[in-house]
Amino acid sequence: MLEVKGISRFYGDQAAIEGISFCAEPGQVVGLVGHNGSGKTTTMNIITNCLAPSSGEVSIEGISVQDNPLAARKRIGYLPEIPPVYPDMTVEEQLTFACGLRGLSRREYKAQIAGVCDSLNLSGVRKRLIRNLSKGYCQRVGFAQALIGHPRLLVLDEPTVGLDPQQIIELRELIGRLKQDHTILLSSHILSEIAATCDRIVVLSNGRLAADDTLDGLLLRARAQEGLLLQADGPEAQISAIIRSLDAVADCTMQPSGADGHPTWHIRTHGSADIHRELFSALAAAGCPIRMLRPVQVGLEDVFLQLTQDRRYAQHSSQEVQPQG
Amino acid sequence: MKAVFQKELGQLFHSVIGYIYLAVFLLIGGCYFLVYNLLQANGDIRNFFSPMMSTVIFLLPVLTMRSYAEERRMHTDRLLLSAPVSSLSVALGKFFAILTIFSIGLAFTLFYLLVLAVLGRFDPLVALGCYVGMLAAAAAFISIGLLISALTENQIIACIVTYAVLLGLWLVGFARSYLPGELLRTLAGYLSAADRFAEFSMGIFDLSTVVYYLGISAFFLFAVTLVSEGRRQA
Repeated sequence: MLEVKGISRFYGDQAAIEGISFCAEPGQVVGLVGHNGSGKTTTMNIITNCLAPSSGEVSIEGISVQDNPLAARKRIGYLPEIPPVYPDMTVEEQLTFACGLRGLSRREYKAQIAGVCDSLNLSGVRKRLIRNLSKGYCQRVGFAQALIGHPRLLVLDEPTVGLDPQQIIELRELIGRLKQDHTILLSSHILSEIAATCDRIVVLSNGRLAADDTLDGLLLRARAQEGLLLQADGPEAQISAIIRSLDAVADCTMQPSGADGHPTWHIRTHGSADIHRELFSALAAAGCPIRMLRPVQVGLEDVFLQLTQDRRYAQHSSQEVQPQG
Repeated sequence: MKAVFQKELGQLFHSVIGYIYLAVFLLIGGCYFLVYNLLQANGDIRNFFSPMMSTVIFLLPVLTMRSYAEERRMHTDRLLLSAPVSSLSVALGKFFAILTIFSIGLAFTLFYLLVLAVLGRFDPLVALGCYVGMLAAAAAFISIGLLISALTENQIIACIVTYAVLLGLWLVGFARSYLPGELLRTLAGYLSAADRFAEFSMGIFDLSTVVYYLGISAFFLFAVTLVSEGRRQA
């Protein structure tokens, strides 16, 4: 359905995005995640043909966005971060204009506008000027506009911005209904939102693809980071040796004393082995009382930070070095 | 193109710009007609059109300034860029919407012709020449205004630069005699919008004059589409 093949976008020597590739199948909701400036909006602008890539190709249902832009754009409904709505138009006029842009006939206008207004609870404000609507309503008008003409691919850049919690829940339900006959690509900073709505997650970091996996796949990577955190009194070398002597321990790293003045050991085990009892007995026998022992649970946020943070710091440091060189 | 045309026309009348433009156009036009025709008991419609043309130069940028600049400022250009319409369709929609407003104002001045036909002299060829010339010149000026609006997101800058360019095109003929070199003088004569309009207002349908105005319109509308497409590269 959507195929993004190695797209890059350069501004002078600086790459906004570089070598991004991913696919989205019909009925899939794909989440685009990344820190500010990671290239999410640039990627979306290239997919929707608002921006030309420096290299690479995007195709929708086999139609190249670069070679056959009008046919490709017919298949795209785009809600940018700032909804493209005219403040001096009423909601109905705005949606009528969107119908006209999509080349719909006058007969189709009425049914289309009524349908999207019902879906987004806009029926009560159809005759109101957009300038008099709240930010949340403007966002919904922008979303309604993207749905006009039943485009097969919906590209939604931060669709929940400006919505209250109730509206976010309604939007989540709407996306759930729309995915039955649309492919949806959405970006959000709210990871719980992405986790709740998306079948696949594409993580961007500094304009590069950091991960493209299902939620379960990403969490599986995170589980590798799970284990136990331990603080105990006694000689550090002895405690490390005791931990490593246990058969079920795969890896153990010690973090130096933190704010609480005690070093912390991060222990990873083979599989899901439970070493609580064994560890307690071994440390007690050696006269090293345990101060703290708790499991480490890694969530989507940790995965996101792990995937993006290193690259961000790497680029910052290279930028700092560059001028001197 | 139809959707953009209807949207632009609607927006010009939703905001007060369309009404203000028509009010000022008719007020100034009425004053010229009163002063140069009625009070002087002169039945020649050219006396009305010649000063009116210089007024149009100052009025048209008010209509063209917002067409593209406002879209960029409000980020609504994203809607047009991602919609299944070509940049040429968008440019033509905007162009014809402004030309329609201009034509509405011009249509009101047909009443002056009626007055002259009843009270004084009426030369149909001269009148037709003046109207065709006025429309052709307006088309060229609108296309120039659209290009300048497409180059900036600041309406005021678009308006001022359009004034400057149109005024330059209008005055270049008057400055011709002060220019050094025959080539420059010939070029200035060819570029002069005032000289071209003078031919129309005399009832002379010279093909080169039509080509001049239509050529400017086509060239600048093409340039607008290039600039719009260039936004995808920017």
